[in-house]
Amino acid sequence: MVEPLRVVHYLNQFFGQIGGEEKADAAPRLHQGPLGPGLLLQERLGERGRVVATVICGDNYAAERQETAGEVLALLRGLEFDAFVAGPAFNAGRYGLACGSLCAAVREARGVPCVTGMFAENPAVEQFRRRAYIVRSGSTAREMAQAMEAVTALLLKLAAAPDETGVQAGGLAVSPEADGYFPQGRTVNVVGDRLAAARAVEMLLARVQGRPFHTEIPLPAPGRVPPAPALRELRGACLALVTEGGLVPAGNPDGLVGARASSYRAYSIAGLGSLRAGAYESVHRGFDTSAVNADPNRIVPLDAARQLEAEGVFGKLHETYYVTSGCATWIESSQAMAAGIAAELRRNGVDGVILTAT
Amino acid sequence: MRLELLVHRIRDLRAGAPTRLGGGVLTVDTAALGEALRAAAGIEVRVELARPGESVRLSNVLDLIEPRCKDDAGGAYFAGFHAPLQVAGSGGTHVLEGLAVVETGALRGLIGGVIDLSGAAARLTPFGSLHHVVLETAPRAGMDKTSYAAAIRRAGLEAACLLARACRSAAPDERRTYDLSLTAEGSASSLPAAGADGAPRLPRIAYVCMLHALGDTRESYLYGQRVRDFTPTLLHPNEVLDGAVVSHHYDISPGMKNTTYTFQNHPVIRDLYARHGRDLIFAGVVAANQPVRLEDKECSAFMTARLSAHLLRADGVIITKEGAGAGDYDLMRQCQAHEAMGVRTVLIDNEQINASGIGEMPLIDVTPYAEAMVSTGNVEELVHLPEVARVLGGDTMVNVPGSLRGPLRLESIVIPGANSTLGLTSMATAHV
Amino acid sequence: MRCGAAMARELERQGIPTALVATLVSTALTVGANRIVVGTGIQHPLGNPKLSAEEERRQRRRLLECALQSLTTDLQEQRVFEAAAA
Repeated sequence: MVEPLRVVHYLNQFFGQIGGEEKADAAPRLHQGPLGPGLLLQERLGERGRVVATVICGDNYAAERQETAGEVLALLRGLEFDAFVAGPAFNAGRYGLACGSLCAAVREARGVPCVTGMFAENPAVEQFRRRAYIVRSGSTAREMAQAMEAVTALLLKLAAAPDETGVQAGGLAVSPEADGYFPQGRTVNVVGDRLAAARAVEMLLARVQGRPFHTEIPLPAPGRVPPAPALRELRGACLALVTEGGLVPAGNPDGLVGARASSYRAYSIAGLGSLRAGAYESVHRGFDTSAVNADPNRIVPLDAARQLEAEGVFGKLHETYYVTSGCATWIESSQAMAAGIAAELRRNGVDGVILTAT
Repeated sequence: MRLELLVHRIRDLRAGAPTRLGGGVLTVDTAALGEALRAAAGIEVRVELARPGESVRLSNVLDLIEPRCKDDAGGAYFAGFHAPLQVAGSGGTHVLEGLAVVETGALRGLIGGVIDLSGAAARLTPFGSLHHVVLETAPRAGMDKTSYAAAIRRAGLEAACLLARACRSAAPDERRTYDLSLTAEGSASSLPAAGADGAPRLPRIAYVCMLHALGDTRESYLYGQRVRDFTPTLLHPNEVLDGAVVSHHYDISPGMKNTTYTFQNHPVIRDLYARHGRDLIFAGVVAANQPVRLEDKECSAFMTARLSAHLLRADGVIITKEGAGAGDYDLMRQCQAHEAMGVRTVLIDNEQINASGIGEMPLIDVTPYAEAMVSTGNVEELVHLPEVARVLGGDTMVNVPGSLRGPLRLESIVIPGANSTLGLTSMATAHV
Repeated sequence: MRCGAAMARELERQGIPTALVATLVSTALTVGANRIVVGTGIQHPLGNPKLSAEEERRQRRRLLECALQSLTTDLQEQRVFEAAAA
């Protein structure tokens, strides 16, 4: 017989039986044992779990103060528990935000399974589904029984899985389809029972015959940022050269990696009129580097830049070039590296960048 | 064109002399084979044997080849590469099924893979359940990666041919026929025409096989020819199944390359064959290059799509790629060019997200036309490999810290075939 | 390539105009670079070993001039700039 799970339950002032809208400013408080919908949760858990405490907080209090999650974590500091349930919040906006943020915070701080439930159109779903398990529920508390059933089932599965994220070798402990929660934006590998080639042929037949099909790689939304303001004039501008082409001094003295880079290097080009063959090499693993090794200016165009600088077409070239390897490099790492480079550029009064990529 | 595979199923593998096949048991004279390969390739080669289920890890894996030879006097195989130039895909071919020749080797610049023959990781790639004749190679002093790779290639192809030739007197377990006429007459006469007997017209499905060529050790060969400066061309599917395409990818991550074995057992071609005449008409194969320059990429896609649309009259095509980021770009250009000519597409690709599986863009490039894609997994996801008793291919690898005996935690990309872009894998993804 | 485009996007987001010289234009557009200058090849974005040394230098200069032009062009949205032909 396994020990029953010790479960903490979160409710707003209304479900926590403090009061209605007039008590929406109530600060978080702790109650021993289950309350309101917690009785239903306890009934669903049966002998497999015990609702050891209920946290109650007013909707406005939780929605208006970012520090609420920290306060709730503080309330729970001395308490031993194995799982956390919030709500369900159905289509209630403020309650949804509190349930979502608390599930995320407790999961991240205590590493225990956390589950809540919401209606698909609750704005908190989009805000928190990546960080919390949110089970799909009806829109009102009339559907409390089904919602609590789904919440409890998922909670028990997560508690039984060795990995809190719910993914087991050889299969998934939980999935949005089977367990009715909103996908968390994570892609995991699974070994299926059909070859990818056979799935492709099946998908193509469906497509040409006008039958429904589901792509396995949903198209990502394109990234967009507002364009930076143009340079007013070039003659006084300081420009920098940046490359993702992996070009480093021969021998790669600072160990830049050739793929999946998460850091960049900076090398001085002060006093150099061009990059000499043999003095540089590209460590980039994604392309045949022989052409740029034979003439490094083909990837870091120092010779042409110096010429334009000497002719006064632009003000001056920044005396350092920045380099990383853009091979299977994650977008998030790329952004972080660019942010680091941006800070250096600003310190050095650089106005614009020429960034070369393979 | 009619190809008959004379299939010999390998059920067990042993060392002994002479090399022979009896009752499904392949006996290999490893010393004699090693000597023959050293002579053929001019590099050090040692031959080791490994069986599925053993506590063995293969390391520094560069390519896998299924042993084959023709059923003619010479028995030569890999036309235009290891054998004289002749049309592949017709006549008889002996196949040692369930067996792979594994090329291994390490040198600065080469990128090898890891295959487990037992445990959970063995189930991640179809190669985990094969018997293996492992070639442990070493370069001559001062050899560069291009000439070393070429020598390993010679050794691998030679081993595949020698093994098959030594076994071809045995009675095959199965005769598997691939018979397809690509002429308009052939299709029209043997299969229901549009609306005949009220039966719906079967869709014409073609396959676009992109081959990339990004350097001397990063390209596939077609009939022994490089595909760098190459115009997309029609192939009979049998040509691919019968050794016309040889992989020569030695400096690219295992997860991003297609092995020779995979071309020989091409899963898209085999699936289209299996459904031919029943669910679809297999309209043919186009081999397309993946050039370096942007204009050439657009052009290659255009030249390919016109073959699919106007010569093969395809309603739909499956498109596959080789290589990583630039390969995604080529895949998208092909998708766009085909869709623009009214040919529906499905693309097979693996994803490059990161170890967590949470990331903004799983592919290097996309087009809005790419609404139907099959995923062979996130190549960055981490895989746990347990400690094993024996490692073949070298106890260390450039990109793996520590001893290869394990336990190890590696990205899926290091396992050949796990995320096959030709679709010879059961790997898929779930969005959780 | 995805990396370069994401770096260019971040530099632009931070208000630093950035000319991305790259060959894979559609990737640059998808990831979200704003000032995209069409390069001359994956293996040599600013050059071409098949040209004579003199022609190659002229080509590289034209590419840089094109990049400079992109930096001084006010944009409302992404734009692809192509260097003048030889």
